[in-house]
Amino acid sequence: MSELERLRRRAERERAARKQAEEILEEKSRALYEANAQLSQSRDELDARVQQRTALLRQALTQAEAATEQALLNSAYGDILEQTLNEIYIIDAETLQYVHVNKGARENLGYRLAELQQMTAPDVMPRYAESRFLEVTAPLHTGERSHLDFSTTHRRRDGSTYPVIAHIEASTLRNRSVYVAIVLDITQRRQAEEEIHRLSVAVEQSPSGVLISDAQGAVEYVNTTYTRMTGYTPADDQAGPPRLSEAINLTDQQIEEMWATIGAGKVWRGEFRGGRGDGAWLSASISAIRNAEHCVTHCLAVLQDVTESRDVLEQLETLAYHDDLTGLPNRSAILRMIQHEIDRGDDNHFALLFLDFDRFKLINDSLGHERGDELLRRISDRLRRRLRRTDEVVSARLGGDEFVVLLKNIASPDAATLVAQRLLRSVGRSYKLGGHTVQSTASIGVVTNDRGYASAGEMLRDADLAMYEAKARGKDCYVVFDESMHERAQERLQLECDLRQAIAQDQLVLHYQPIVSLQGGELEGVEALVRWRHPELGMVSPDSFIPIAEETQLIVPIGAWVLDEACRQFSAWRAEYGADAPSCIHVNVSRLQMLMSDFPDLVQQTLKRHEMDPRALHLEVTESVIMHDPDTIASAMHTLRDAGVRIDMDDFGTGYSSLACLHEFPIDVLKIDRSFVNNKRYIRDYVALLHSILSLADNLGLQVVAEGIETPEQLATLQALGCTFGQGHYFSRALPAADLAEYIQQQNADAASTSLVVGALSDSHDAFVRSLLPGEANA
Amino acid sequence: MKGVVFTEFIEMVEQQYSPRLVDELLDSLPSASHGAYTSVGTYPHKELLALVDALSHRSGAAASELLRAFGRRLLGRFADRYPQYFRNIDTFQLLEHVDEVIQREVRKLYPDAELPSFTTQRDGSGGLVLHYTSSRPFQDLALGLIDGAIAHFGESIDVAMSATPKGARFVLTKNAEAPACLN
Repeated sequence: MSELERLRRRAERERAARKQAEEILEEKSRALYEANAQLSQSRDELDARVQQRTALLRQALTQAEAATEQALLNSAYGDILEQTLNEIYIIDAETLQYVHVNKGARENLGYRLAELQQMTAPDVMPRYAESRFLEVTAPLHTGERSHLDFSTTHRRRDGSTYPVIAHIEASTLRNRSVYVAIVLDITQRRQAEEEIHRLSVAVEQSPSGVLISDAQGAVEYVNTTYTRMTGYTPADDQAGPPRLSEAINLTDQQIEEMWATIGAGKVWRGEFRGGRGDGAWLSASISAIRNAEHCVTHCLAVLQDVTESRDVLEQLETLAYHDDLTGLPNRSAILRMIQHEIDRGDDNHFALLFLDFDRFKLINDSLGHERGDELLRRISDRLRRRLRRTDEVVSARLGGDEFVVLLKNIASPDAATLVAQRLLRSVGRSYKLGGHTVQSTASIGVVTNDRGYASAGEMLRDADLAMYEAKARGKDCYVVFDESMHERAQERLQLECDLRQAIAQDQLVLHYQPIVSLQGGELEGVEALVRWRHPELGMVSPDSFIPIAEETQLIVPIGAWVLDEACRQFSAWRAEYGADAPSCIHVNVSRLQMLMSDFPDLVQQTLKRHEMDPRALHLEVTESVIMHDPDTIASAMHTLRDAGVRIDMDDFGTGYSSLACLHEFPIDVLKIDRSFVNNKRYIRDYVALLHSILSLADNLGLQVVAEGIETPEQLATLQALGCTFGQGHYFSRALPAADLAEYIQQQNADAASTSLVVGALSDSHDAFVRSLLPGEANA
Repeated sequence: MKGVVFTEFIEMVEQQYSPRLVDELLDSLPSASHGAYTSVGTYPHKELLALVDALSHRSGAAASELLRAFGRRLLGRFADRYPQYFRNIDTFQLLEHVDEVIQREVRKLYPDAELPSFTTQRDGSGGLVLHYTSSRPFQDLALGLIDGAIAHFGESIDVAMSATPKGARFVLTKNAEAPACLN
């Protein structure tokens, strides 16, 4: 599980646990409050009732003082007293025997009246022995006190007990001193009290803070946890009741909002600082307590300490918004920041630089991923160091070797291009990685928000397009985005679409460029070059569509078609022209094709299909492609070579190969890149280079074909240096099959004259070239 | 089982192992509570057993050992929170009162809790026998609590536990020597 995932789940669990605690606490607190209120109320009612009964009884006794017991019972009050649920006892003050016990008492105790009249009061009160009862009632007897109130326990006939409160008064009945007791079974009240005790312990001991205030904001209750969390205790020595605004660290406005929210029947939730200066964060859940008329009478606040959770959330944010490898903000983070800048309005001027490190893949593949990661870290460091260390500049890593720099508050677009220039220089300097020194240029796309972007994604995309353009222009430069790039991107997309149909629609065609012997001018072989006849665009140059094909993997079916068509055509020429036909055909192969495991098979099948000698097929692979995946490609090359196919290294001199590599790969031909051949500027150096390459090839036993021969001088130079084969516009551009057939025929006809022309030219330039060769004395 | 047992257990694992391990344990269990325990909640006791089991697998310590260690720690926490029950008494007295305390105080607060019962008997030779009866398999936890009590009071008492049909039996014998190290 990733770190991010683990923290997410932890945060989720903590949130769920907090929610539970909140709900339980809230429920309990609410129940507590209500139970207390009810208890209060029933106590009040009880008191009132006892008072009432007592008054009633006193009156009855006064009136019936001299009357008989029966008279008492028959009196107007008799029924009430008899039927009331209160237990009423009339006890002889001397003997403590029961004179009369009402129905309520009889039913609760479970005795009949006759039984009770044989019993004394202490018989029913397990906590009082007779002596003790006499002691307790003595003040009544002496008249010292008019009444007694106490609580005790009654025992029923069946042995069970129940708690009671008793109110006793002294009186007389038929000249007998009696005690009149009005007793109430308080079992239910006890239960209610215990319930309250339970609840208050729960509330008091809970790990959450609880506060209850009345509707005016006067604090009525806080539990110990609350005090511990906030440092607040309702102080006694204040003018007026403790205020809510002092008890909780919210602004007055927040408190106002809170009342409005809970008044509307909702729960108010908020997070705020603990207020004790220790950096603690608290989360409060506040709800209303209402009365029977549904008016808010109190507010109930449950507080939890969320400091730790916030830490986890912060960690989550950091992880979610930072790139693991470099510590820079990541894609999500920078998109957010860009959007924030956009949202600040049109008057806010800012720019994006989209930076791509040109040679990253190559370096990563040749030096390994660890070095690649190290390189990324170094690039990030350079970005950080080179750019202003303020909030105004943010560098982020999008992924791979792509970085974005956000420049806030720029005075003008020039500021952005200035930064781009600086970055190009800085990022482009060499890096020491372990024992290796690597260097690469960068391509930067620049975009400012002048064009009024609505979304960060759009702006980033345009910066990307500009960067892409910078690459197309040769890299090591920055390009400022303009609208036409959209069009070009659209065009590319359309081209890609069309390319997919090209094979099926017979829009692809092969042209063939002759490769000739530089000594005699004879046609040696041809290089097959694919062309695309687009119905609307006409001939689309390979520079336009080959890169697209390679990006989209369309190169695979296209490459297979090219191979097949080339072989078919070659065999057709051999059949028609015999020995005059080209003796070999060169076909370009892309990296993707070479990497496919079934490519050697495909080649052999194609050769078989057209009954072609493998040795007549040259597969041209560029130097940088070989160096990219040396192991896989070496293996494929060996398999092909073993089957007889020839391998040419194309564009030689432009890649990263080492001399050792040349040995490892089964190469037959070096094709010297045109940049060495038709270079106009530093003639001396290039001639020396050509000389070296030719010696190298010679020593390794490789054939050489010089590409891009355009002028007689170039031809003469190469001849002087002993180069055997060449191709280029000087001889012929790439020709359609029909035209090449003509060329073949013409070659035969003009064989003598061609070689003469070549020979004459080389004589006149021989001296010139020789003078340029190092170590040669000038003639 | 009350949430406080879960939160205490989780805290113990956090401190003795790591918060990361806690996260992994909680995520690995298909519990109904999804690992979200609050001390004021109530959860199936089986989930605690599952947690202990998972920890046992990860740490290599036996579940019984983990429960025992937990019990020891819990006792310390009780002593911190409710010091009034630990004043002016020793291990034997505490154990003798534990049943009464549980029945009276705990049951008042949680009337529907399934609580274990502890009955004690002093034997003639200055020792104590404690019968632990419970429908739940937490005798190792009880053993840990006893260990914790002994450590709290700084006494030197040997404890022997044996299973009974209804729970377990603990025989405690005081050592004649001076107060031993708090192990």
